[in-house]
Amino acid sequence: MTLEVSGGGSVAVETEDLLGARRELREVAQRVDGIHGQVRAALACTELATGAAAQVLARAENELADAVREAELLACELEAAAEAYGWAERVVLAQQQLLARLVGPVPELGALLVALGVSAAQHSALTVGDPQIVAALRHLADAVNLPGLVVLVRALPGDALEETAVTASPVTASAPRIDRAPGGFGDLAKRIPPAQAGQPQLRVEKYTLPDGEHHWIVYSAGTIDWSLEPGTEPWDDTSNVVGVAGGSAGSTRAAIEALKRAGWKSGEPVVPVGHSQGGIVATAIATSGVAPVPAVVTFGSPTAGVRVPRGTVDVAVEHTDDPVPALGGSPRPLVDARLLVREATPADARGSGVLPAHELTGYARTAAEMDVSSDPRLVAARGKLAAFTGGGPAEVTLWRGERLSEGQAAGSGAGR
Amino acid sequence: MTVLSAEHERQRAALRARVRAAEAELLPVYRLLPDRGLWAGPAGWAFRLRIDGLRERIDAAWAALAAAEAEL
Repeated sequence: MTLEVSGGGSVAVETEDLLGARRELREVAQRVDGIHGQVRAALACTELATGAAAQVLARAENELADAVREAELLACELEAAAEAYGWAERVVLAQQQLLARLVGPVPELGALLVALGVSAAQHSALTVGDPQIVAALRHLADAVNLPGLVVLVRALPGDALEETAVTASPVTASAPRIDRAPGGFGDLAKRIPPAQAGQPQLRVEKYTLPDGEHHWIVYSAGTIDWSLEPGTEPWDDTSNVVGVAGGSAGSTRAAIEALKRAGWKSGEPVVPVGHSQGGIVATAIATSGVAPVPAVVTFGSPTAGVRVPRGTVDVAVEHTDDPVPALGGSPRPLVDARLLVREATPADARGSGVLPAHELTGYARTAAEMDVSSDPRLVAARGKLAAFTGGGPAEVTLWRGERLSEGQAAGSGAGR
Repeated sequence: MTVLSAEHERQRAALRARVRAAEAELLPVYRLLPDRGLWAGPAGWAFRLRIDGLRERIDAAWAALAAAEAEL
């Protein structure tokens, strides 16, 4: 397992391997310290030993004391080195973003084309998960003024990127299904509805705590329709672009509508969870201020450039070979407190689609690895989730959002 | 005189047993040392050197304990 967790605390970058090595060194220091104590006690009986025996015992005692110090120091240095590495990474990111703002997107576009060319030559085919392409995409996204691009595209003939009114309807007509509370990140990922045409895009869970307060988790699917011109499906590319640009995406409005229709009342806290575009929805709910959001969890979402409100635990899971998170640009390195979990897609969990590193099955595997991680920030985030649900049970409803035509919208009174 | 010598010998044997026990406890510590090949690159090289240094200290302590046991 090579999870890399950054942000959200004093240690900026720390791998599971590093945590393991630090733990082992502390165990070494503790054991050797115990043996050192025994030898020191033995030395107190030197009147029993010959001169030579006392001399070598004293040498052993010195070596053991040095070994304890060395193991403790190395354990501390591992932590300090990780922190320094994290800060160096953040400063480099900040410099790259500043440069991108100063010179515009042309060099980044050039870099992307070069990276595509190099990758195609190396692999005899285009491999969009190549780390250099992912990095070039991220720099290009930093340099592009997306809100301006949306305005420009909307000015063209046709309906590309034009938002519409939406509605949300329950798919489960009968009483809500009862389910247990999620046990961790693995359960959160598994509960995200699959992105399938005509199927529910949203799962809403309602928790009633012992004091009668209601807490909610809303899970959002990824992109279903890849066309730029909006049809009836709100989980489309229009919502992708408008959402990343910070606009009011149809999928986000459908999710809020589903929550309201499920019985959510203003002021009741919500934890939004999503994969891909679902992460855009989740982050938009967190930043909209529509509900108190103690935590937001995203898998493979292009939301790095978005800063959630202070006090919200922002857990972002990204596969290093997935180009989609890169489309959200770089995180704001010097101010962000998001908990970024990065890992290459587990080899046996890669999908078979166009973007094998982006599929939900792979992210579900990474989420399961997060559940067994001893990283203190992931442990704290899991604890926060458990406290939020109160251990369950959950009342579960499934919802499907639809875009409305102008005529339907006028009839229903739904807004954009 | 004979009684004193026997008591002294018993105490030396007890001390030898304590030293031998310390040696035995030191051996499993080797297995706890982190994998020296954990990382590649310059940081990995520096880490390997430090782990090797720690291992040498434990080797030296173990050798000194073995020598002390032989002298007792």
